[in-house]
Amino acid sequence: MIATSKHMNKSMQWRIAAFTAILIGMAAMPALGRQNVRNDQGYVDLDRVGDWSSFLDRDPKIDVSVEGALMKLVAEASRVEDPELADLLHNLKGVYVRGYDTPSQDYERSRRHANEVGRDLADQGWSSVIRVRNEDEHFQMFAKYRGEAVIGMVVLSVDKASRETTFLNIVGNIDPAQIGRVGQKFNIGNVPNWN
Amino acid sequence: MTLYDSDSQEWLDDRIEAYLDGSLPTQDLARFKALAAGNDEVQQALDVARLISASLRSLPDEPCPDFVSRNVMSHVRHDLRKSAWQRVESFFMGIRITYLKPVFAVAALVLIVVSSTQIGGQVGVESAQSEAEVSQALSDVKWTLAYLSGVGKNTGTTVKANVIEDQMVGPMSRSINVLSEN
Repeated sequence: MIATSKHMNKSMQWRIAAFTAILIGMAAMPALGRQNVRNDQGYVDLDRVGDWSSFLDRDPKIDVSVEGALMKLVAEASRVEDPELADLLHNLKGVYVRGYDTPSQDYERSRRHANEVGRDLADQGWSSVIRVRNEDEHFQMFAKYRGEAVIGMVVLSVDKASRETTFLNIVGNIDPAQIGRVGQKFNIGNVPNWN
Repeated sequence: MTLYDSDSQEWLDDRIEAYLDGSLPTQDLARFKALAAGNDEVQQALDVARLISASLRSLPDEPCPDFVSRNVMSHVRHDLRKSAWQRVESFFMGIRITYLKPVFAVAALVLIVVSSTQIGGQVGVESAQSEAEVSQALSDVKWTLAYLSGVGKNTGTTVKANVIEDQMVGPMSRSINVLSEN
């Protein structure tokens, strides 16, 4: 390359540079597609917002990140068994869940921390849809809108009874009614491999 | 070619035309003037050319017929499109295969690196994601949807499923209905 470049004129160098840029652009396109989910306004980085792992000093016992091509494969995998679920999943770009054990002694400070996280989300343009705060439970649901459409949903729950903190984010074109309808088909206890 | 490279008639005509158009190079201008001043034949040819040029300029301008303009413009547009495509074509055709070898090598390397590090969500997933992983992901997603739809029933005592129905699903459905009616 070095030897031949001596004989190349500037025009040729420009052509090769442009051609290389086009090839690299084409190569990087799928990766950019995946990155798009995480650049979406409905996306929340559950590992950074609130930094629950550091706060509770433990790894999440529930760690779900389904996005991009995997989400499409999951949608297609459910096509035969449940077409409505497949349609719903096709409209979703990502599903993320982090669940942490939260012993009783951590409940109060976790609840306060959840309050702060909720305020941060509100500052970032998330609309509080449901908020329940009492002695035994802190529960917040947020939605991100684009016009009339819901493009993101976040649930943050600190539950004293189950001793669990759950942080959840779904991204995409969300139809809450459809989620309610489809989700009712599944029983949490009957869905394996959660814990 | 300089003024004294040739004394042919064609050469002289070119110089006279350039002189009258004002496009004669500066270094030739003085020489041409000197030549014309010292050579009667050249001076005479210059006078005739000047007369013809002045006569032509004095003729009234005739408007170009519309159909001619349209025809010419359509050819111009066609040529422009053609030349644009030719430029693109010549751009790529002008790259010699010898030079392309390292380019293809670099592009292939980039493709491999990007694929192995980031495309996991695309190419990698389709080839590397096993059926078990997809099944696991499907279970996870189902759980999440179940959690969302049954939120309250399983997470606490205060939030009930009908709260979501009343406060979120209901208003949104009503808004969508209003929009679809409009």
